[in-house]
Amino acid sequence: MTVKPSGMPDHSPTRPRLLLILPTSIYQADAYVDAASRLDIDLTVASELPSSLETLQPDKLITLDLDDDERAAVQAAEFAERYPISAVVGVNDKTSVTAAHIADELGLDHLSLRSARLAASKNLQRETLHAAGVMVPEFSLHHVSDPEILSSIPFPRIVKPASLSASRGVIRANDQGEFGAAVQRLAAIIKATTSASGAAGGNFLIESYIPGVEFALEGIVVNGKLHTLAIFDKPDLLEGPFFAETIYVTPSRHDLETLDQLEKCAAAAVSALKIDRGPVHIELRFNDDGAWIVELAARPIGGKCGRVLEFENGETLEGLVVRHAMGLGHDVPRLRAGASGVMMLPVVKKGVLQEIVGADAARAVANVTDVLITAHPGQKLVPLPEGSKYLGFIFARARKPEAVEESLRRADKTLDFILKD
Amino acid sequence: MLLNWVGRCQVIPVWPIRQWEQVLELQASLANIHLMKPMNIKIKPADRSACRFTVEQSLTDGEIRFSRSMAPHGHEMADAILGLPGIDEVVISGDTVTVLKSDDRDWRELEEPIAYAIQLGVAHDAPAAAPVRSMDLDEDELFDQIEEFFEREINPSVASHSGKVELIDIQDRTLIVRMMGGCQGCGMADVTLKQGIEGSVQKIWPMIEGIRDITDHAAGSNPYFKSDKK
Repeated sequence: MTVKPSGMPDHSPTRPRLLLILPTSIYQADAYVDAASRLDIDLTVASELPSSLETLQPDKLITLDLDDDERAAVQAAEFAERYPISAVVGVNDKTSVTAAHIADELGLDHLSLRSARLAASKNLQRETLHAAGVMVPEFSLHHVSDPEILSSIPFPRIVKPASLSASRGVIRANDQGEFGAAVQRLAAIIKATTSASGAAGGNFLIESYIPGVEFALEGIVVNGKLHTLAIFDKPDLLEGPFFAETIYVTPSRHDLETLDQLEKCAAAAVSALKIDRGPVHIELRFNDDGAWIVELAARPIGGKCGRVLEFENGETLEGLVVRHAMGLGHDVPRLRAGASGVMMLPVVKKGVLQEIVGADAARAVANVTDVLITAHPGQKLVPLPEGSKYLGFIFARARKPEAVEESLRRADKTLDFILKD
Repeated sequence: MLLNWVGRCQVIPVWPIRQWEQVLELQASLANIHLMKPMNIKIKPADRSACRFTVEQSLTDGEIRFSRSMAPHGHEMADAILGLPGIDEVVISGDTVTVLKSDDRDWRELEEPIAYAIQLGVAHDAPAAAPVRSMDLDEDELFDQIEEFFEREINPSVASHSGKVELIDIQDRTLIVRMMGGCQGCGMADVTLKQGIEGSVQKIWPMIEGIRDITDHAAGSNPYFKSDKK
């Protein structure tokens, strides 16, 4: 790893340059900028809206049309004529595809555009995985205007939009009545969140519900081989009707045989999608039939959750992603000993946030390492399935995962988000 | 012979005076040009936009960057090079001067005047090797200068996002700042700080090593960019 000496301005035409695609709605901007600044590289941040200081720092800040990947690639190529780009990193589902487009246009070593698209498309991904023998929920692709979706189907079923993430729009239906209401609700969510011109905007999946225990696997792929960074237990049952993420704790408390099956399933999925490099975040379920892929994304874990992973070499998850993308070494560090976890604080009630009470008390709970409140006073809060924002994140670290989970729950109990209707 | 250039072109320059008007204008005080020692300058164009000029001595301990938009910098060598048509940036690092341009002009048209400007700058050794804003600046003076820069350059731009950035202090070469308005709680606040403000300040005051934000972002009630989950 090459580390920049302190006190040097961040620009030199002799240093490699990273184009980092950071949508303005992303939580991890600070983590990525910090990660890049620790390496001896130049960093350019690209967003869909202009930074107020873009004209002052034209080599460090650019605007790309993130609604049109081909146009974004042309814009990036024009930029690269002046400031050559060595690597591109997208940080979420959508921008990982944009990054692949740009890398393709610039002829950079990168995850292939095909694999990036497969990973980002729920239906294409499931088709590919199913064809490769990887267990995925049964699914069918529909459009909200499709009359056939009301025909007889077995229950329970999950409806989920083809293009949204963060559990947004994901609803479980246990019978025909719930199903009709779920589709209606989903149609409204899709209408509110996708542009009218988006051809796939109205698409959604109907999936079989996979009972079982849910896990998340965080990994990085090097030369086609999946390296597991962590397997997270999700101790809160995710049975619907909505699927708000809450607690992630690693290492897993499940038996080694289960974990081995999860890793093999994840590796098979990575291989089937021909993901040969870069980060992956995989949601899995495990039951008597074995391990199932529920979601796979060619990006790291979202939100602020990456902070849970503390590596022995002091690197952060974002630092690891950037270093691998830049080709500055492909070693995979080990996690620090001990257990760690995060609790995402979902919005449970609609309203306008007035006040946050108890943050200091939450921070004072044993083993809690940080409490980050990302919602702000005056913010309109919308719970799932319509909303997608979280109120904040609680982080804990202890010797055992049980202690981490207990501390997260205790800290959560001290927090009170006072809303106005 | 004033210059011996090695690398792609080795020439014994015959000075076309008109072409040098801009350089000479900026170097009007140079009365002892005939006393300059011969100098080898290795010229290596990287591509159409960048060309490196390497000399046989260190020009600076760190790296100093100069842009046309911020000129004049009071730096003899950099200002002379930036005075040439089409040149956008000059980066001086160790024994190398990297010159960046955005037009289609062939580097061969510019090599002579740039090498000459470097020669002049080295002849005036001290100013060539030192940053424009000296490390010896009084702390209060440095604070005043950067605070004035915030008001003149940073805040008018940040105001377009309903934000404001206040310089609170300078400690151990680190700017201590507080963000307000649309910047407070903004999902891109760190990008604005590190990519926008820190870099802009370091262009002029290279001794500044970083920036620290003391804003209570959680209390921001109207952030310009609001974070989402993924």
